[in-house]
Amino acid sequence: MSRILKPVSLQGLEYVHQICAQYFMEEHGMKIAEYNLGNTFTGKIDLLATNDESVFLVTINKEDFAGALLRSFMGLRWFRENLDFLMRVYPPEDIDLSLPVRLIILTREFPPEIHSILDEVCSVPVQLYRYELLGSADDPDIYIQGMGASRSGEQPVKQDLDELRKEIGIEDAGLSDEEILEFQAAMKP
Amino acid sequence: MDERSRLGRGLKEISQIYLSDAARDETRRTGSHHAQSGQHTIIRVCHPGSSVVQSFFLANLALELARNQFPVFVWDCIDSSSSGIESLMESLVLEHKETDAATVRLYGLPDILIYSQLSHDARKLVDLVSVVRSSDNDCYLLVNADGSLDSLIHDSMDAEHVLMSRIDEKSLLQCYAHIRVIQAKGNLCRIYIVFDGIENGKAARDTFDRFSSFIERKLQITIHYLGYLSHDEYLQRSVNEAKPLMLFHDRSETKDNMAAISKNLIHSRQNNLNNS
Repeated sequence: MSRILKPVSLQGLEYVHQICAQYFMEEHGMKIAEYNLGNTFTGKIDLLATNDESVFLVTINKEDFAGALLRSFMGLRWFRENLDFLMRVYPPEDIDLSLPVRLIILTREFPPEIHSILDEVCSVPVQLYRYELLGSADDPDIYIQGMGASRSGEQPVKQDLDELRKEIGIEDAGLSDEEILEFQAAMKP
Repeated sequence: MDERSRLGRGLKEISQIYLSDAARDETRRTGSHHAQSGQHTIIRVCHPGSSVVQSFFLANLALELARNQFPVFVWDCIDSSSSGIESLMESLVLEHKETDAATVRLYGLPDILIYSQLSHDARKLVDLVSVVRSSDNDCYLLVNADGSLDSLIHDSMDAEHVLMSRIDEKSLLQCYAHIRVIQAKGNLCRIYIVFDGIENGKAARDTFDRFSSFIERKLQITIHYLGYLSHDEYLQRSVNEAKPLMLFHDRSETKDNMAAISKNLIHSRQNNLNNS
């Protein structure tokens, strides 16, 4: 999924954020609840967004990737630590902060094997986007390309447990959904 | 003169049974073939995923019990003519009348009597249960269940259970559902597990460890592992020829698995009775 956006002035950082926000709204149907949340010392989130299924903490990288990764993780920690406060500030009709959290990082380049690295270390799904600045220095365009998500970021396919019960003939056993899911989790090697 | 008429019916097959180590060891170890006694000699065998493998298993288990000198009754609830016990032991069954039991007779061993639910009413089953319960001769009644949860729910017999399952998640969930129903019925008899269609003993054991831990934690029930049944070419040959695998001369991994499972069952019951 990619898109060439309109020319961007790199002089104003706020303007870059707005362009990226526009991309997520138009391409992914997200709603932006806030820009520049937190601070650089304790954790900062460039965009706080939602699609009514998840809350996205977006980090737009303007330095090296390692710095962006650290900033994203610090933003997550800050978000978690201040969640009660944030839930009082942002009404649920604007953004439901109890939804599952996902990280998004926009950056110019990634280290090799980044997805498998994130799979290993992250408990929260991380979606990666590459952006490029095209055109001339005086008249640049920004180009954003989705690079996929870490495996933990894949939306699990929702099981139809009634169908499963019917398929294997265990409707009369009285197993609850929770019990089946718990069983499935316990049977994984 | 062909072998059958020269040796007598079944003699060729039985000769290898008497020459096997297991039977002689058992005799030497206990000094008697009648090593066990106890009231719980009704065993319900159920494989929700495969009636053929279930019947194959039960037919060979019956033969192994007979080899250890236990008279065996079989109550067959499978209504498919191709996967019923009688058809899987057809080459050994004496001619019988509709109302009688199908009899498997091998020289030197107690008869195996097979009753089909199709040709015998529930009173016959009550009689068999009564005979087994009152027997001093350690009879076994093996029930070849129809595999459905519904039949388990409506089954009022107080039996031990051998549950067979493949090790994929759905099969294990089926098996778990059966254990859940057994618990809900208040039947506290032993539950044995046999994993089917697996070639690797370690994988079977690991799966059992996960499965039994969950059962113990969730239902506070201890289940017992009997072993695993691999599927080699002799299993299919056994089914096609209607002759239990334990009577084949050829070495077979499935046959070894079956022998180990039977031995584990007999010893497990014996230990259980000794401890009680």
